[in-house]
Amino acid sequence: MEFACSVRDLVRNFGGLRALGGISFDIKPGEVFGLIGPNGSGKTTTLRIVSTLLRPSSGKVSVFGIDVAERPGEVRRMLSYLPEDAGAYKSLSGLDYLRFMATFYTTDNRDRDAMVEQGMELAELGQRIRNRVKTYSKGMARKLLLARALMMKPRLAILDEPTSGLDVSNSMGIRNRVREYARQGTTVLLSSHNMLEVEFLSDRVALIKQGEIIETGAPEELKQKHGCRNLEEVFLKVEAR
Amino acid sequence: MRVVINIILKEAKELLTPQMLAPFVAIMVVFVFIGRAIRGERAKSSRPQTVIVADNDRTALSQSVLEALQSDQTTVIPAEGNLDELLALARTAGVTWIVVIPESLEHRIQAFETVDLQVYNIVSGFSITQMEKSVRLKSLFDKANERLAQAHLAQAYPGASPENIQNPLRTSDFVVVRDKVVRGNADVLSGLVMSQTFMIPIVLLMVLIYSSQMIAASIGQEKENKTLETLLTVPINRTSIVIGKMVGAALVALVVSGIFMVAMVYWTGSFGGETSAPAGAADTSALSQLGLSLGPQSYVLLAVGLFLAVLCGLSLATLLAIFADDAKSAQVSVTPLMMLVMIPYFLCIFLNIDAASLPLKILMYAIPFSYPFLMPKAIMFGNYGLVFAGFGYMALFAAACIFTAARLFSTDRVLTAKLRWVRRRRVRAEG
Repeated sequence: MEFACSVRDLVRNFGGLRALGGISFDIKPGEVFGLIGPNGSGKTTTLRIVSTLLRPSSGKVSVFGIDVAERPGEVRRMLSYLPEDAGAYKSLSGLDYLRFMATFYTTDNRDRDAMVEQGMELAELGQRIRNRVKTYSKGMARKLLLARALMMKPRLAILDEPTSGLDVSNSMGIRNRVREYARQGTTVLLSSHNMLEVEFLSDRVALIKQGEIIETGAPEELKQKHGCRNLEEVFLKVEAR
Repeated sequence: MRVVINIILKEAKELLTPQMLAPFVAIMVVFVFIGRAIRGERAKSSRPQTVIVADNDRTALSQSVLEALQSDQTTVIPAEGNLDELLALARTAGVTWIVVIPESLEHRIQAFETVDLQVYNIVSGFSITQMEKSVRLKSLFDKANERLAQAHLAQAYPGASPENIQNPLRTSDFVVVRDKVVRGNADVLSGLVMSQTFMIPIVLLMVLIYSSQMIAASIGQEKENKTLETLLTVPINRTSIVIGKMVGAALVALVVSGIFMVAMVYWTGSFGGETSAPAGAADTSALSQLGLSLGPQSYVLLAVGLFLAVLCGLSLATLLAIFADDAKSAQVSVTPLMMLVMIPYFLCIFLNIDAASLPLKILMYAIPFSYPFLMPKAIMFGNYGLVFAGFGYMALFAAACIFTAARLFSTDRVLTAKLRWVRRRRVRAEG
């Protein structure tokens, strides 16, 4: 089976600091895969490597069979990446921003317009989509950015802390959108230190600590395996071993 | 191509904000306002000025002095009375100059003695226009002196030309350029030559400074606003990002420089463009005969030189800004570039590079921004070797910088400096 994402013995160093110590995992097509871990565990570094922002120090990462280090251009056509603290261009309106980003994915005007329409629907900003991004609240900006990440219907969507800093209703909205797209066939790789959120969204999860994966499996399986009520308890139990 | 145009338009929108344009428009308005005010005052000051002349001598000679003061620039009002009466008259009439011719003028001049004319200037302020009026009036006294001296000489040497006695030696000026010898004054020709090209260094300086600042701001803002990571993961050639940003920054810089130059030209025009001596048709002809006038082909070469210099500036600024973390540090990072532009600019103003020491020459030729400053003179004196060598050097320099910048954009170097710092801070906190 061709995996949507395959990571093998991934190592990443920053000078003398080992951020990832040889992690391995696979993501099946159409799956929502969560990477859970505390701050500084290597989640964002992993996502940045998969999204072709960083190169591995050693190991192999492939997206739908294509090596991210050897053919990053081809990989970028298949994925979209939403960084944790992403921003949008403040002088552009939300609509202009969606149009600007859509142009990188299609040269056909009709396809581009359809993509932008989809983005507007996903963003749920109403008439505010025509206002400048600098007038948006944090929640509005994050919804716009998520819309950008999903509007081109990527084969793999990489979402780093998608609901970071958002209130309850905005967070719920975003989670629902992610689930909806996953049901439509988009593979999702997401990271969060909010284990309850990841448990809600993910088909399978990997627990990562200090650059190493300490457990992998479906949330229910892990809870049963370790006799815990939720993934937070699973994590605490596993890291204490 | 469409993708690059998309980036260019986005860059222009991001950079051409009201907050960015407002200071330049304000400067332009101030310059235009000041220029207009100065032009108005200069126009007023160039109108004929009125002088009250009290002729206490009332002789033929004093009358000729009075006539010498009368000109198309000066209107003479004859008057009588003591100083207080003359001052009162001047204040009433709004006149600021009073000249008093003493009683014994004719007698003393005929005895070959000097005569003191009392010149009173009623001053209510100090300015350049005030000084100009004073200089004009004093030149009339020189004219009066000339007349009196010539009258003496004519009397002493009847039949001889007073002018020939005063100035037995005259110069016939010739200018030699390469193998051409043409009658003309080198000072005047130098002024004419400089008037053709004086704007070039200023334009280049403005465009280079603004375009470097623009691109540094663009890259710095991408990092500060966290938009760079998203941009680097879209399916676009990284070189396109670099070129799109450079072209966008250049276009914005042209707009800003254009606004600034219009204001500068208007302002400097208020002071007039005076050379050391007035230029006539003969001097202009001499310029052409010597091949020192810049024709259309010359301006094309200069435009190519300017373009390549701007390309060098943009590419180097891009390279420097990549290592910055935010907009502020990006603008600081291009400071070395500013130095590389200012050094040849000032050296070309104050020095003749051909006569400079070897280390200075090496420095000048090593800095790519030197060539547009050197080109006008090189073109005029037929030194096309320097012109085309400069083109080649600047093209190579720009290509190397663009290639290096694109390579850096293609790697994680554009992100890792900040990432490494953030990672170390987390490690210390967890430590």
